[in-house]
Amino acid sequence: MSGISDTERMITLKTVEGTLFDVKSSIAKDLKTVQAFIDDSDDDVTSPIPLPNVFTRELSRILDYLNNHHRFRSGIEKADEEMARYDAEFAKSMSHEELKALILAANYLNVKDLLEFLNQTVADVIQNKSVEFVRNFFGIENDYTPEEEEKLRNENEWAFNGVEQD
Amino acid sequence: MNQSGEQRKTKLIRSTIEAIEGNDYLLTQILVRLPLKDVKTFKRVSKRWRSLISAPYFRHCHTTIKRRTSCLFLNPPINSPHRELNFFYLDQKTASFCPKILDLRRSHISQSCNGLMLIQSKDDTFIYNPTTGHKKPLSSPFPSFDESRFAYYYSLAFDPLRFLGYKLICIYHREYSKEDGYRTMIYSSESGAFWKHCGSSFSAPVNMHFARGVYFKDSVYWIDRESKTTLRFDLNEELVKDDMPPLPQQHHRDDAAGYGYRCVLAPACGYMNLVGFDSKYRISICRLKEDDYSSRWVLMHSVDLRRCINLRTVYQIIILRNYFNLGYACSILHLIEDDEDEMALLLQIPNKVIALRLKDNTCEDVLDFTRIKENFLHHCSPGFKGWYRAFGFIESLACV
Repeated sequence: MSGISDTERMITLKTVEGTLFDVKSSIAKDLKTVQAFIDDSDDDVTSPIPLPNVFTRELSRILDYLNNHHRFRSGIEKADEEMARYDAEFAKSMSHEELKALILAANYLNVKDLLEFLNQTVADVIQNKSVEFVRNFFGIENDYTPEEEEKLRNENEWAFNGVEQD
Repeated sequence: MNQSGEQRKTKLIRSTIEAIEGNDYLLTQILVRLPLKDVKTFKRVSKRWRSLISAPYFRHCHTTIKRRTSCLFLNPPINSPHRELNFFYLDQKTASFCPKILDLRRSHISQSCNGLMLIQSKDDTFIYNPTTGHKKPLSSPFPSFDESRFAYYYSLAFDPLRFLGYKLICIYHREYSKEDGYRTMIYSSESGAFWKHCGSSFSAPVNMHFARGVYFKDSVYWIDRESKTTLRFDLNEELVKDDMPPLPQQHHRDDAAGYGYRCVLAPACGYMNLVGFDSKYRISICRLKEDDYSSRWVLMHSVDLRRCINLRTVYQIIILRNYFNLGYACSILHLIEDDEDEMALLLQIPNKVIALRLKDNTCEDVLDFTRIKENFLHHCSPGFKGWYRAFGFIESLACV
C-alpha cells in the first residue's frame, strides 16, 4: 500500500445483501455518512464498511451518479449540457418505487447534491397532479371526512401555526 | 431458486424500512420545491400533510429554496377589469396561483425584493408579501415632531438565503440643505423595532436616485439619473461605500433613446448587471465581474432591436396615431432569468409584452393585449419608461 496517494485509496462498502463495492476515497467523500465513519475510525479502515440500510440496487445507482458527475466536473467545458442530459436520463430510468427507494438511500448516506436532485425530480412528478395521484404515489390513506375535505378545498388563506399572523 | 429467495428477502426488508411518507424532513424537502398552488392543494392529501405544510418548519424551508420571478406587477395600477394590465405571469402555463393584489389606488409599489414588496402611500409605508397577503406598517425612523424636515428614501433588502428577516435602509437629509450631506439609518426585522444610525454623513452626486435601490448579495445599489456613477450600502459593515468601478462608457452617448434614465441596474443569474441604451435601437448588457483584485463591468450582450423585432412597423403605427416620438415604441420592463439560467429582456411593444432571449436574440410572446380594447399604448414609451413601473413577483412564504 506504500506510494499510493490519498485520493486513490479504495474504500470497501457492504450492502444489506452482502455485496461488496470498491469505491475511490474521493468518491466516498460525497457519501457523508461513510466519510464520517472513516473520520471517526482515525482513517484506519481496512475491513468493509457495512451499510445496513442500503441495498445493492441503490448503492450501485448512487455510485454511478457520483462517478459520472465527478467525470463531468473534471472534464471539458461542454460538461453542463452533458450533465443535464445524463441527469434527465438518470431520472427517467427509474420507476416511482425505485425513485423513492433511492431517496431513502441517498438520505441515509447523506449525498447532498443527489438528494436535492431526486427531491426536485419527485416534485416534478407530483406537480400539478391530483390529490388522489399523490396519495397513490406515497401510499397514503385519506383520513379526512368528505365534509372536512370540502371545507379545505374552499379555504383561501394561508394559515400557519405559530404567532406570525397579522 | 436462490435468486428469488434473495429477492423475497429484499422485498421483505424494504417494506419494513421507513418510507418517505413517514419522514418529515424528506417530505418537506420535496414539498417546498412545488409551486404554492400545489402545496395548497396537497393539504387535502391527509391530516398529517396539512399539519406539516402549516408548520413553521415548512415555511422556513420554503424560503431557503431559490426561486425565479414568475410574474410582474405593473404600477401604478390601471383601473380596468382586465387583470393582466396590472400583473401577469411570465409563463402562462404555470399561471395559476394568484398573488393578492392590494387595493393600490392610493398607494404604489416602491420596490420588490425576492418576494417582499415595499408599498408607499401618502400616510404610510409598509412591507407587503403578495403571496400571503400579510402586510406590516413601518415605524418611522424620525421622531414624530421632526419628520417633516427630512427628505428620505427607503431601500428594502431581503435575502432568505443570506440573512434572517428583512432590512430597510433609510437615506435622508435635511430638507433644503443637501450641503450637510446624507445620513443613513438601518432597520432590521430580526433585531427589533428601532432604527439604528450608521456611520457618518456622506456626500453623493445631486442626482443619485436613492428612491430606487436595488438589492444584490449583501448590498443595496443606487445609480444616479445621469447614469454616471453608482453607490452601494454594504449590509455587513452597515456603511455606504463608494468603491464601485466606473460605468462603461458606451452609455454616455447623447443620442441614447428614451428620456429619464440611460441605464439601470438589474441582478440576474448570480450577477449584478447593467442594462442600457447605446443608441436609439441598441441595448447593451454589462455584468459586474469581481475577483480577488478588482471588479469591473464586462460587456455581455449587445442587441440591435431592429434585428429582433419588427420595429419599423411599430414606428409607423406611432405616426398614424399622430403620436410624435423620437424613438421606437419599445419599452424595457424587466430583466429575467429563464429556465436555463440565461438572461432575457422583457419588452413592451404596442399590443404585446415579449421576452427577448439574450443568448440567441430570439423573441417570444409573453402577453398579447390585442384583444383588449382599451389599449394603453400611450404608456409604452421608449427607453426605460416602463422599468420603474414593473416589479417582479416571486412566491414566498416569508413573514413580514
